[in-house]
Amino acid sequence: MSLGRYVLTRISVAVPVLLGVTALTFSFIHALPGDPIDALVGFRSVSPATEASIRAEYHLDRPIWEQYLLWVRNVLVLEFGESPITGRNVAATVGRRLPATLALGGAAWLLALAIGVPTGIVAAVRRGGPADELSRLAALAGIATPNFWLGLVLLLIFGVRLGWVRVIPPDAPLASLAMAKFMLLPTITLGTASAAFVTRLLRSSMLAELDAAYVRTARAKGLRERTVILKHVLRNALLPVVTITGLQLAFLIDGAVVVERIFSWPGMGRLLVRSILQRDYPVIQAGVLLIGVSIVLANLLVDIVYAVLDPRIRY
Amino acid sequence: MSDRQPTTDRGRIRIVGFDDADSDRPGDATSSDDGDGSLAATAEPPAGRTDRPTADTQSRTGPTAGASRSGTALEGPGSRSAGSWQRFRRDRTAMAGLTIIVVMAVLAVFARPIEVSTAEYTMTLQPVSLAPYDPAQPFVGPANAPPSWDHPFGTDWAGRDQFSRVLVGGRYTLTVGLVAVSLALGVGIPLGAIAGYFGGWVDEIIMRLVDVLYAFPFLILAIGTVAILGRGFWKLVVALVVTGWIGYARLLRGEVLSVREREYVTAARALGIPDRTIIRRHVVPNAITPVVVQATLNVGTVVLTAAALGFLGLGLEADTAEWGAMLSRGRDSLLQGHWHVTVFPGIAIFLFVLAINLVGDGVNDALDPHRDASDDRRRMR
Amino acid sequence: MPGNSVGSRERRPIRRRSLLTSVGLVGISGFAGCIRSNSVEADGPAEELIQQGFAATDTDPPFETTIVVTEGTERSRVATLLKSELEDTGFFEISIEEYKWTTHLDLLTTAADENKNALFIVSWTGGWDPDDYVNMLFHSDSHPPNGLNVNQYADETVDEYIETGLEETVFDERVEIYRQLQERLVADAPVSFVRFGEVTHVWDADAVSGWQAYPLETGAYNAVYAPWADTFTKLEGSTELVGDLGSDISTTDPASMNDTASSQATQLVYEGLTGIDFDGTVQPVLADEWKRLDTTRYRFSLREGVQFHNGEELTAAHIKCSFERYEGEPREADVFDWYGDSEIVDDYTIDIDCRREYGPFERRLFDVPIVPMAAIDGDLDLESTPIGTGPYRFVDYQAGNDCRLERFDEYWFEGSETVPATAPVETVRLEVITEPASRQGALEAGNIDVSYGVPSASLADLTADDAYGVDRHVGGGFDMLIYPLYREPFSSAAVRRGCNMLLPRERIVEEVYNGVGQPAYTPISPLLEAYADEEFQERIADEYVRSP
Repeated sequence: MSLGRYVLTRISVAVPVLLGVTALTFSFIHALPGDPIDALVGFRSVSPATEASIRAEYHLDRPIWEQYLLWVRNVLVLEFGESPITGRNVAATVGRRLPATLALGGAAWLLALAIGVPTGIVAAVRRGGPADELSRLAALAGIATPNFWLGLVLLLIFGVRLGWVRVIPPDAPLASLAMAKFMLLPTITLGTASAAFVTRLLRSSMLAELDAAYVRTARAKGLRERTVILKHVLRNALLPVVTITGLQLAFLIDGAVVVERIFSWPGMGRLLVRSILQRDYPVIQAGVLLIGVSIVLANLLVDIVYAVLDPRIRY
Repeated sequence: MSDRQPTTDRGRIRIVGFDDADSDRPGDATSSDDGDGSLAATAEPPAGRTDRPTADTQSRTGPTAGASRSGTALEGPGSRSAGSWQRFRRDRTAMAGLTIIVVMAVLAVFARPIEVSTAEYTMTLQPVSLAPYDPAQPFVGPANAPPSWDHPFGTDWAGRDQFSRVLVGGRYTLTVGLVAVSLALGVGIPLGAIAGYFGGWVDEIIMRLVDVLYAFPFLILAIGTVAILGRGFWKLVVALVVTGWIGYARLLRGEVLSVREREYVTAARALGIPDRTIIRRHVVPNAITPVVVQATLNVGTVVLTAAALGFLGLGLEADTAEWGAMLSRGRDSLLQGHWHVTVFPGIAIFLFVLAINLVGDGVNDALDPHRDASDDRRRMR
Repeated sequence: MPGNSVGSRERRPIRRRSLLTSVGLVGISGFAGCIRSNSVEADGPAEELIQQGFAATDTDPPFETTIVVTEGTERSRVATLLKSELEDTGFFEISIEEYKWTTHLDLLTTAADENKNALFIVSWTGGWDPDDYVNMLFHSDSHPPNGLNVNQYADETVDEYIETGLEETVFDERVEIYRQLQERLVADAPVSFVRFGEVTHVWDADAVSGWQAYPLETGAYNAVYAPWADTFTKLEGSTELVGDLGSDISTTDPASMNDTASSQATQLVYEGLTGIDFDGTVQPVLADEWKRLDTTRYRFSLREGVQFHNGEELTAAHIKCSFERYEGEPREADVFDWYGDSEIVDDYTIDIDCRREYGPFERRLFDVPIVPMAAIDGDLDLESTPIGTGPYRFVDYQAGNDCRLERFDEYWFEGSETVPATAPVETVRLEVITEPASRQGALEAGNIDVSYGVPSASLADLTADDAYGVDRHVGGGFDMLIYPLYREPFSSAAVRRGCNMLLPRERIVEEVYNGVGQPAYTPISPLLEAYADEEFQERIADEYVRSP
């Protein structure tokens, strides 16, 4: 099977998954106690006629499955509708938040690699030595620290006490120096655990590769150790790291829910939490769909990268 | 994942019977270069590793393979786990982790008396009380007092003794971790085994469900669950189980896929043994190792997740002396300079998760020396 | 919670025996020495009342029930203190449940129908009129879903007081009615009033001067520039004021606005016919004067030369259409509770007919912003572009991030001795900060100039610090404990009265709110001095709540 056909097959499998995700979300949010009308009118007394007309406006008077089909039909033409709670266009609302979350997630991911890869290499090369033990402890510590606590403490020390960075995002575009400086702390908060995982993963896969026959051959040929490790071992050892990367996306979105709240970051996580609590159906739907698509796409991308990196894989 | 144990035990002949089906991992079999007559040698490498050339596996697992074969030829499953236990005990860091957990558990159990109360009478089951105060009793000291001799960890906003609260808090934290993981295993193992063993449309349905849940951000799912059910111990556990089982199911299914083609399974099927029995007695025991390792590590993850949910205003009841709840509830006091309110529960969580990870690594090395735990960990989230 | 046994399986078999022995010993000693009886003695007048009520309703102590609170550190702490106080009597065994606000509301409104065994802690926010504090909570027409009388309290006398109070327009008569109403409510105790809230504003004293805390949370940003209330704020070294919002703005259309943040953000954008200043006095805003023609008919004369941000000029038609626009909108009750009809006399004069004689009429007008014709015709969507006549125009709202306002240079005010014609603050930026700890952090780091949401525990420190200005004012709301009247033993007034006496009000104010707020015994906030002066409150407290 060619790569193109493989991608097509994967995408066709993803469609029912995404349908499942949205259908599940739909039934899920309808199971939430309460009625979006309540959030909408804020428990004021409203005449029955008014309530009925509001319901009709957002199709809340139809059965759930009909609402769902209606929604799917609209999504197929990229029409996400209007939020009954804010009256704003859902696509615009979600579209505004997405770049912020992607920027933060991307930065955290880069940080994880920037810390995790070198540490992992050193730990593997100096296996059993103090550097190895130290990196293991550091990695475990990274995993064991609750991220909201880390975020608050960082904010308190560097934002409030020392005043080196702002406590809330600056009044600047996303792609600016001021914003980059502000993003430092949230990135560290979000990326620490991932960096720890990358370290440990890379170390173990490096160790496995270091034992491999081709490494002995390369060494026997008299290649410099540095070349052996960077050119041969690392390339192979990075494969599992690549696999994990795709899965990390969902993990980073989870973390974002917490980090966005501490750092007042206008991202998807906060939007989703608020929407769930307000029963803002269209926004939840669009958000979950978007996240689902990103996760599916990321995994697809990972598999393709994997295929390119490792010629042994055939489809 | 640290020191792998080289061993001198080599070249044993292994007889693989239907009952003693928990033979070696297939990877070991390929390393039978020094005259190992293992019947299991016919098995294929596990699914996830098919992409690697066998030669690699052989040399890679060489030094460690013997370790998992240290038992004698005819030993039963019990003595095999005894072998694993031996290996585990030699792992100093893992033992240190285990010690921390045991100490925490003992402290939690003996922190306050355990009583069973009916309408008329109260019966004490466990009379020991290590904690100096009732953790829920307000104003046993001044509010927000820093650590002192009377209150070694200080007091919180309501003048409750933090030391007592941290001790008793272990009960909640440890049980949340343990119960949530056990229940998730209870859902994930059967589903994973069924999916892997039967294949076909059953597999298709279960795995698509898993895929769907995977495409959900975990916390969003958990927040929704808690929003539907409300707060409380069991509700929190449900939220953690709903999101926790998928990882085990997926992991086990992968293992089962390779196990089900082995000779003893085919033979058992040919003998007409019911599928249920085959799954229970032959398939699952042989495929369970990575799941066990994963589950151990996840106890820590679950505890951290519970704390994160607490931060978002979900999770256990308000003011429960649970570590995560104490940590997230006390966060305002960070700014007011009452550092002790969050530091002690924070340290407790940190130590616990650290210990769980050490134990998890140890279990991994002991049960399955050539697999690395972190390999699967990220899949589990 | 049973103790768990992590790691015990790892013990070697030899040890198991000794372990078993000790378990056996514990068991025996348990049976021998630790069984005690759980009978209850009443101690003090409050507990005697409870005991009477338990006997009358055939309830055996301890009665198991739940306190339900909405999420929030402070509320759950109140619940903890209540629990410990009520359990101390031996009559109750209480668990605490905590829910997100929307879930909590849902539980509340269905509680009576589902016969839920729970006490609810709820904060109620009222406004400038006494009716705000009683009608929705205690009138028998306000049972959910028509109101928030969630324990379905029904008392004819109370209903009558509420109705006559609403339709009474003579001030002294109203005061008398509401005083009697309050006494009746405390005596019957369908709920217990626990604490009056307080608004607390903290600002950076180096950068901001002239700031005042508006008593109602929704009006927090009136302090920036409100000439009709004789208030404005000056900035040092900057022309931009940065404030905070506790949550995202949901919508900016006044007819469907349903949350505090939205009202706060649009406070400077919209204006009504009247305004209520920081002391609670009604002041003319868009109307420059009005008179009462008969019991239900008022004639308003409008300010001339008032411009909307989109260039329209205010006329009487705007008033009529702005009112009638509410029909069929979520907030229709804001207008149609009193609005009957209106008649345009000329461009700057309008007669408004009330449906009934209506006590709070002038105050209600404050909550009904006048909007431009473009919005009424449907050309303009107020949900995304709010346009009014206020001193600031809406520039931009970046969802979840911040909200910007900019000075409206055509504003109608021409200056006076105390307030300049142009507001010193050129732009206002409101940052959305949901985490309370971060709000204080942002203020201390100088990222925002003013905050109305600093945790109460930090107020003492900030007050002592010269770098910050702090203003506190009793607010328009109270916290209460709602009893499940529909269930025994709370169907007995004696039990409720007993519980009411037990509530540790002072302790709640001191320990949970760090002295912010004051103990409440009656519903109407002392913000409305005439209806709830100190003497009156003391008398009620002594008579019904404090143990003799």
